[in-house]
Amino acid sequence: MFRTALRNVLAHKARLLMTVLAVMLGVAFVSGTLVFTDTLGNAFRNQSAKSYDNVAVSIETYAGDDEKTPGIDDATLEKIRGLDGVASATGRVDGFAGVADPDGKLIGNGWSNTGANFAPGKDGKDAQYAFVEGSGPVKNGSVALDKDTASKGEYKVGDPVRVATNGPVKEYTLSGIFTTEDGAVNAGGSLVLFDTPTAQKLYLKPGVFQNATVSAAGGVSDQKLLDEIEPLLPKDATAQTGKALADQQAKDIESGLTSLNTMLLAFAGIALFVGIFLIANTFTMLIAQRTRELALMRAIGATRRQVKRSVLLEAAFVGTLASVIGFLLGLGLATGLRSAMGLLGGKIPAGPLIVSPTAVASAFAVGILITVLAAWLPARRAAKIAPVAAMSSVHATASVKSLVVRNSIGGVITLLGSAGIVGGAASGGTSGRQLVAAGAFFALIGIIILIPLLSRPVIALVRPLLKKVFGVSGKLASQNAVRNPRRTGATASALAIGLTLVTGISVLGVTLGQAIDKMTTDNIKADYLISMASGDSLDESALTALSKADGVSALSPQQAASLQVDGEYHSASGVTPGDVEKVFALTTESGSLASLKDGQVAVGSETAKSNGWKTGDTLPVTFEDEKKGEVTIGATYKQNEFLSPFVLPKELADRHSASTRPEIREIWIKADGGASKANEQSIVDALGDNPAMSVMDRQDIRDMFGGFINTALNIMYGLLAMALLIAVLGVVNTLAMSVFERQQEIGMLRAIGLDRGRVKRMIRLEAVVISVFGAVIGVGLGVFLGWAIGRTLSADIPGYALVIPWDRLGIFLLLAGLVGVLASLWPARSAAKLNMLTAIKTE
Amino acid sequence: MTTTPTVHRATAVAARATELSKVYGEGETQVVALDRVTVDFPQGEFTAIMGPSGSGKSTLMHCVAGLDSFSSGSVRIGETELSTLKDKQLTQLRRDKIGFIFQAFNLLPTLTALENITLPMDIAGRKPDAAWLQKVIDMVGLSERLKHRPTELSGGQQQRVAVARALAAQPEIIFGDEPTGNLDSRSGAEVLGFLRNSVRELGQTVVMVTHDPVAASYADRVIFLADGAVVDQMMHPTADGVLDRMKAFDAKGRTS
Repeated sequence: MFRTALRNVLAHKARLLMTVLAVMLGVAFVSGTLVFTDTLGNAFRNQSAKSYDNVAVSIETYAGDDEKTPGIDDATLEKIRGLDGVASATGRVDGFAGVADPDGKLIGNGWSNTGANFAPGKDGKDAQYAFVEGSGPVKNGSVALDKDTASKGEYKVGDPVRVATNGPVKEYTLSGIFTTEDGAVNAGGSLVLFDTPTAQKLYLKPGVFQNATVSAAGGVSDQKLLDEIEPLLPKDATAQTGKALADQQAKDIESGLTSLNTMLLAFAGIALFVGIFLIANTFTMLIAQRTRELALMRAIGATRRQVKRSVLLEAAFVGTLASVIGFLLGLGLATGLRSAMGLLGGKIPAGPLIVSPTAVASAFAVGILITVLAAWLPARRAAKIAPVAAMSSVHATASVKSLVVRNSIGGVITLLGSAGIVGGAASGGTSGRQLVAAGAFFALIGIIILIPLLSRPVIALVRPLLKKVFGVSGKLASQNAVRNPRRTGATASALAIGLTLVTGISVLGVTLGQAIDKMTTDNIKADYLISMASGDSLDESALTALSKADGVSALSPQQAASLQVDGEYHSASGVTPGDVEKVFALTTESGSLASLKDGQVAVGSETAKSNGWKTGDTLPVTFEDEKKGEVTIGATYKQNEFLSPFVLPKELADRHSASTRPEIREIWIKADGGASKANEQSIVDALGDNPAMSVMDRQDIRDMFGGFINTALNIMYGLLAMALLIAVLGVVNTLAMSVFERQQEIGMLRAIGLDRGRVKRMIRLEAVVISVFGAVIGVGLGVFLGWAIGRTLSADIPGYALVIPWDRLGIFLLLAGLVGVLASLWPARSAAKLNMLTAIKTE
Repeated sequence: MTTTPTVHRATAVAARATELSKVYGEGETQVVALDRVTVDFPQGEFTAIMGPSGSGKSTLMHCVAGLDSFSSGSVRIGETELSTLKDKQLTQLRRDKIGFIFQAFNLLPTLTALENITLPMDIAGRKPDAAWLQKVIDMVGLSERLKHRPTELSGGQQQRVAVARALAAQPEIIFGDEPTGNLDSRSGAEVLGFLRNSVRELGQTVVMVTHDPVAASYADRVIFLADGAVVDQMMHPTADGVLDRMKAFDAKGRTS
């Protein structure tokens, strides 16, 4: 049996090609994912272990609300240094610091731009940083940069460097360039080192550190040091051994990678699921062609089980072979993915490619299991072949077995699934989404079962058109496409699955994008939005500078504040009275916003309604600074997405701010004559050409809120491409099979006068019909799903309205047609090249 | 119409092979399939080509019908010389001037009987001549079964559809390759009867390759091929006469 199976595989090399390719791609996806995440995890783990190599104990303080204990002071550090077994104790302080590239743009992405202190030990070196050029900054006015940032900004030692922190930009002299094991820097961030007093002044206050690292002298255990250090620390500080910290980081990385892993594997799963259809098609055909051969084996004494096993064994061979190639391809994929991420700016620490036994085992298990599983039904059918079939001289034609049972089951499942989707959409929320997801699964399965039934009427619809446009080729193609409904169904299903998902996420993505876009345009009038790239709050000085800038006609901060009414917290926005209605689109429902000028407040209408407040009411409040007072409601307005439910005049917010610096989140600007180059330049100049501040126009604002949706969509498209690729292989496979099975027919057509061009066109049209059919089903189901999931979200999204991206859907259908044309290239060519004489010759 | 079965040498020739040779391979392994064959197929005549397996009878038909290329010599269909035609022109020639009936795989299973019959005209983009089509359909007795698909027809009925298809386009010549090979004797006799009637009543030219003496007896003339050359011919053949002639070749082959 073993030998027969192997022989069969070898004999049908060409016909198994697409199956091998499909399994191979799926396995490559799986193994690539596993190897990539393993490699990444290992590299990050090594790095974090390395960066805590010299750290025996790490002390961190968290900025409490209590301003009186701001970290570790020098005295505490001195006490720690005095402990037995402590080699050194280094205080650290860090915060945001950005430098500009030669074009004045911030290097890095805001949240990974760090500034820290250079803390030399007795030897004048800081073990964290290895200087490749120059030396560390030890005096006020000099800084050091990490190597990548220095090269991106084209800075050399001795150059002036403008550094933006949360205050105004200051110029420093570059004293040195260093490399570090710091994870954030290695992930593409920037790091500016200041001398310790400067850093303390910038980020905390003189003489105080945020955290500290302690290294041990030989022979002292980390734990013992930790026990000794802990009693010395202020109450807002925690200490951990370096090992514990490294482990903690490793664990964080692990969990981050696990979710990446799960997501990638989910897409690999989809690709493999699609592959099942192709494999099943191939084995069904191989068995149909070998009916007589298999019957002969049964006639000479092979049992049903043996026949079945021989087919499954064949599948196992194919699966193994494809897994081997797929696994190697996966290794390449993992390597490629790593360098691709490097190119995209996400730097990944170097490290060896990690090929774990689990990755190998799962890749092979998946590859072989999928193939054997997909061959299961065909194998069962093979076992049912009666021995007498060996004697019959007629070629086994495609079984025209009744599809009644299949269709009834499919119909019931589809109905159940659709009911789930509609029900979920109606109930909404998380539970609704879960119901939609479950419904979607069943609806998809149901449709897959029903597709053979659907193929006939749907394709019959386009037949007159094909006949009219393409003549006899079109007529024959549309008929050939439904000749073997099961096969057509399986082929179209593969495409439909991919397109259901692609369409679903497109509808959802575009709908959400539009809702966000609408929210932006409906709620603001401002032309520019100023914020810190780091996400910190802006300095008061920026507001002053901007108010004097040319071209600024109105500006208001959105200053974060809060107040309590009857013990309940309400968030509030401090704004400039008089200008606020010029930068935000505010609809006053009662009263007037002019009342802000008199120190009154405005309340969002929903909040007012739910609390039973009216314009003119005076509320007793507790401000942020714990002071009690009263505010009078001067106006109510329709809730705005960019403002808190309470709007206070800035002066009131300032007066009761809990911190020393008012928290100016954003500054909104209305410019004279709208957005223009000159206005933007004037704003940038007023801000002191500060790379840490971002100046966004309306398009930038829309991109900031909605941009991630496009990115997410593109990533999803990329990940689903593999499933679609396998579906395309399925179309190639089906056509190659059809051409092979219809050799004689095609030969006859050639003999009676169908020329090569039209033979090709006939095959091509068949491919297009099958692909577009699958695409139509997929797009239809996808829109349905997108609608349903959108409905469950609609309650959470103001201004939600379903948007069907017709342009994208059109492109999908067009692409499906193109896929058909591409997939048919090779089968059509081989059909046209068919030797007529061998084709029409009978045995 | 223009000819009667008793007139064997009509004025016009539907197809003619002159010094036709087909050689496979080169040097030592060279196989001569056709060796300078010269033969005429006059208009309005039913010719059967016979010969033992490997005699070259199918090759001769394929070459004359424009299905296969040949090494040297000339083939004419009507006035058209085939040796100079490209594949596309050959395809057109087959479409417009030649009808075919094969042993099997004659019909497209997706088309109805009527659609199969009109397929060559469909391919050519021509409208079938309704009166002629009706005549042909009546002759083969298929008027009741036009809407059926091939799988719903018996083998004999399927072959009658094939005959009707060959006739419907009014080709200059019809070639049959063992058209009764897969049929029982009664169905075979029917199909052969139709072919003979088409020659007698409609003036069609038919050339048929067969190894069955009974089938050959329906023809006006039998050409005998052996080892790639025409060795004999017989007018007004009878089954017994043909059989005897074949036996004689066999005997000769064995003794020589």
